[in-house]
Amino acid sequence: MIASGQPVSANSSSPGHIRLVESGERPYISLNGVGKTLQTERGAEIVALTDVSLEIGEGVFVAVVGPSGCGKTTLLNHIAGLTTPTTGEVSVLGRKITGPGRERGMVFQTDALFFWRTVRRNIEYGVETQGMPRRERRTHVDHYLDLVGLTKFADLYPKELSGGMKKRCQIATVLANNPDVLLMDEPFGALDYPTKCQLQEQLLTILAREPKTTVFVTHDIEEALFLADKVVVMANGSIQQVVDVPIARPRASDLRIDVEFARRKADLWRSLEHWMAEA
Amino acid sequence: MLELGGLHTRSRMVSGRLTGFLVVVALIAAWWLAALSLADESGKSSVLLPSPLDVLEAVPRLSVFAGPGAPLTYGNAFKVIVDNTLSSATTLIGGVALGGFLGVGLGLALGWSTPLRRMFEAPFLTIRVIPLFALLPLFLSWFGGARIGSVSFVAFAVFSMLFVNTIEAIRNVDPVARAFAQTLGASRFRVYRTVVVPAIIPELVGGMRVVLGLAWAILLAAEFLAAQSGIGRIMILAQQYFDLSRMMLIVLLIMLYTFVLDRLVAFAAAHATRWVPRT
Repeated sequence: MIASGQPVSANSSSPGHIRLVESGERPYISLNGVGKTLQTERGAEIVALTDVSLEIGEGVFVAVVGPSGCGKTTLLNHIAGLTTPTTGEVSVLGRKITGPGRERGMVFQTDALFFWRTVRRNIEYGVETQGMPRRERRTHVDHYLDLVGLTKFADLYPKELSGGMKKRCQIATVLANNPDVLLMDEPFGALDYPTKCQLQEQLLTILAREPKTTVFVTHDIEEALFLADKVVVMANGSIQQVVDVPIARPRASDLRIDVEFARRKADLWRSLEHWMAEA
Repeated sequence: MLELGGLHTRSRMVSGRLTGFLVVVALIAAWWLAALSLADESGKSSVLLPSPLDVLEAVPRLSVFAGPGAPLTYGNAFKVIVDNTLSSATTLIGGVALGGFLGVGLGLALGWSTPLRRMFEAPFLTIRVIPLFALLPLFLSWFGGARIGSVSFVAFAVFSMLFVNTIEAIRNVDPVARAFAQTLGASRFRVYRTVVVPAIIPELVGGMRVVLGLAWAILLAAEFLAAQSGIGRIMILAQQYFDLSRMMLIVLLIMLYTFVLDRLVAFAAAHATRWVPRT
């Protein structure tokens, strides 16, 4: 285990093996020496990830922050199975990941919605694919509509929803599919500040009711600290630092104006600045 | 607010329709004035520009197309219109259905399979560039005046347009929507059926508006040259009599059909695109 708040290793490209797992527990998600090299259209090579080794325990909420282009979304896509690593491997409960799967739900940055389906039909997409009978689907979706507060809007098309409602629809679609792992790629990035805060609090409330192992990519350090148990700082395609947030979840919105919380934010900001300068 | 906006739009629509109607009336008046100015001293219209009244009086003369010796009555004229309209409609529907089925079908097949796309995309895209009317003599040589000739010619035109349309539309499907469906557990075939196919429908229906207009023009051309019956056929017969009143009557009929056809497709398009977000 790495000491919280300390840089993993100041100038090394290989920060070693990071375990975000309670001692004695089996890791839920593990990345083992994962590297990814992308090729541009002109044939130039871009290193997106370098030898990332990370273990995440069951039920842990991990936020990944870092300057843009640091590889955080690539990391998430590897766990989702939307990308295959050039070196190393990713596994969930010891099973190697070879492609996307319903046990790893992903909330995308853009409006990944089925625009030709109503809100209700969007939310039931996953369970419909799983073959749940129509009547059962109805009560199942009712629960998730209620969970994200979209009951009144069930029969609308996504184009009729506000940005925040679209996001809640997408989250409900993922949660209704009952994944074990929740992957989120800057899900609230495009929203205004109050909506963002509201959705963060709702997310924590939902996770308190239906716990999931979560990996949440964001560029917003307040969001990372408010939501996560552990904040992973990435730069140059590898993990540079892990910050512990030992505050019980769900968290009250007052936390945002807490002095201690402000100090954590300042510390995290300073180390991000450090890694941005390195990059 | 919303209701006010609705009322506003509605009153605007009514005034728009009124303006359109007045313009049509003005055009007919202008036509009439032009015809009167070309008429001789006795008030008889010029052969080249019959007045609207002459055109109405020409209706019973359509009876001659019912067969040799048919009495010139409104009843026989009506029968001629109905018979030839049904004949043209049958060819049009047959050609559009056949061409549409093959064009969309092949487009979907190529969108699914990369090897198929490599084999067929370039040759079929080339077909699109050939001036269709250049092929008409070839179709006439193959089929003579048989209905199958005009049906295949219309089908060929519709096929080449809808094929390109389908390929383009599949390319425009948001890759995030596909990835989202995959992470929800959908198989490749299911993603195609439940994401790609519904997502391309608005673009295809929009394309149909152009395709149907062209198919209608192509059908008339084919009928001018070879068919045994149909609106295009009686137009050419009327030309042989040098009876411009009758010809204009048929032109008016063609205009009416074009208008109705376009309204129908516009209505279908409005329904098919009801979920499409305005950008």
